[in-house]
Amino acid sequence: MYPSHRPTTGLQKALIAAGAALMGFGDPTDGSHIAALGDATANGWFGRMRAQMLASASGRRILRERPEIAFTDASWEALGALPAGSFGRSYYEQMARNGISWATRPPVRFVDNEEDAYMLLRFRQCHDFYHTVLDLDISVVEELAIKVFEWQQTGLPVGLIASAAGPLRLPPDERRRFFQHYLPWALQCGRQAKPIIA
Amino acid sequence: MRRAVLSPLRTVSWRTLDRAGSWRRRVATQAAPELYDVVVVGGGPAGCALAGALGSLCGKRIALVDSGKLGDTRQWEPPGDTYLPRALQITEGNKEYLARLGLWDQCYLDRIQAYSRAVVTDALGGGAIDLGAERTAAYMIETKNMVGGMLRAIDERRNVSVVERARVTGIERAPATAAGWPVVTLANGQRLQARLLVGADGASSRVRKFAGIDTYGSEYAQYGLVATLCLEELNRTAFQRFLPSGPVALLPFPGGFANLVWSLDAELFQLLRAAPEAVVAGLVNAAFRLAPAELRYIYDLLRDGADEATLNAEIEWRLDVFAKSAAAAATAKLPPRVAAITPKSRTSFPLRLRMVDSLVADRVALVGDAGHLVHPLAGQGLNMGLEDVRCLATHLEQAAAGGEDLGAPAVLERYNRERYARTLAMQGIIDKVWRVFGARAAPVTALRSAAMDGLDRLPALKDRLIGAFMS
Repeated sequence: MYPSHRPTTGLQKALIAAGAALMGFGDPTDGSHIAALGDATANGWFGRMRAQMLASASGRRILRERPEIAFTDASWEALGALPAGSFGRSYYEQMARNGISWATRPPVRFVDNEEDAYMLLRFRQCHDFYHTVLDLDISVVEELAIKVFEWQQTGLPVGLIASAAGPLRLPPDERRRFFQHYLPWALQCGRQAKPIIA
Repeated sequence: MRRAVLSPLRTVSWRTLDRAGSWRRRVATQAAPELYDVVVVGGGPAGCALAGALGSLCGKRIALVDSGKLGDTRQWEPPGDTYLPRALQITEGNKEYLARLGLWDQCYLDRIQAYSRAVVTDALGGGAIDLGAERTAAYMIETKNMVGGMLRAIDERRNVSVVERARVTGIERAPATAAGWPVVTLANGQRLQARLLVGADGASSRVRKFAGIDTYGSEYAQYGLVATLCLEELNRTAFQRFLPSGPVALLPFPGGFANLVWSLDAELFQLLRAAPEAVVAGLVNAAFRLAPAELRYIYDLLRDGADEATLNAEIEWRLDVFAKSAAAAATAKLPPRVAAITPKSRTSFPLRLRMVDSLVADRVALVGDAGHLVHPLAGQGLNMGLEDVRCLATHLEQAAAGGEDLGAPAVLERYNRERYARTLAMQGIIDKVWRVFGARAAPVTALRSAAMDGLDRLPALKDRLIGAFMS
């Protein structure tokens, strides 16, 4: 249906999801496992995202024009020249501080609907924006908080799975911090905030 | 048979206020009422069917009374390029009955669509059920076509008098000679006295009020939007999709036309009724294909007063996205696309559930909408009325053969006993279906769609379902 589409049966998706969950649990810093988990579990859960995007004029424009986030070297450096405190400058600085590149999102493979596949791609590409807007860096506990936030906003099951299993890997004091601070905050903010992807 | 004058002319006087503003006494003579065995008030499909059925009772005098111009309907020339939006679904069983009585053949038969397949889908849960029979299950016929045909057939029955353009101004029980017989007074001064008065006069039945029969029920707070559509291809299948706001149905007519019945909440109904005609075709296509969330934002655009071009562009965009999705491949479950709506064919009726305490009273019987109102989602409204007619006509025939008084309580009670419980049961079923499909909670939608899909795989059960509703 779209260039990177690979049709799979329900059973195959379940196996991929299980495998990705285990691998992701073992090595949470490798994003491709979580991405595969998201891919395999997302079919049929796009109703809420679609409703959110259709409900606003900007969301509809995004769905129609299907922009993808891409930078050339020149435009990337131009972000650094934006005024301090602006979204673009903060984004640039955070990526530089954490040493990650904007181009690390794998393509969508297992979603069986063209528009849903675009929405999942957009969701992944916006993940770094979540970091910037929520002002969280890439430690495991902060990534988990973002996953909870995403789940509240979009309803995609990968957020729920990751935030249920993830805290088990944390050391005890970080786990306590997660449940006391990050989790309630993420739940409340995710529920109340306007959809960021739209 | 000549009019029998049983009592001397009565003198009645009353005072009226004339144009000059003073009271004047006016005197007139009131003719004795004409005697009939059965007076049927209401010249709609149920009333005409009953009058036609009773026309076979030799020696009995039947009158059919209607306030409208029945002559126009009798001589109706059908339009060559469209179908009227007010149309009826008639089941095979009812059609056989009418044909046996000779009340079907005088309709314009080429304007009737026989069909044997119906596809019912659920928007929220994705369930679908494909009901197909080998023989014809139902017919779509314009109301005017049906009533016109029946009136032409009734003309040939000598014992049925059709009184048209006669508004009923009053009904009372005559104290004089025939004790307790109801007398109907018409606007033109005619008075008809009946051994049995039948109310076939619809939802706000005067006869029912006269008889003191109480009604109860609920308003659905919905309206049915009805229109004639032109499809892009010929179609012989009925399609119905349950949306959260109510079912939308597309019923087949010959020649690539279709009848739209869309049940809508009051606010949405006002929106769609006022929408530009160029957009309505797109909206119907969208209603059968898009998800409820997509429809919601299109309604929002309508509410904000977007222009035709914008609306059509948005609808086309979403239909394009749909066409590329997997669901679009199941073309058998989708109706053909609507090309246009016949100009000025949008009309409507309120949707209600109305039940009565009894279908009979002293020398009064009710048939059709006067006795029951249901949601049109199962196409049963008039069919229940025709079954009333069949039952009442049968009992009256038996009574006449046995020399009984047609309006006697014993005769009417047989009719009531047979029809009342069955009517109530059908009303209950239809109302429950409406409530089940009106729910939006995820467990309910999942369950009902699973039930639909399950039922779809059981042909024996499906045949039973068709048999129960269509015979």
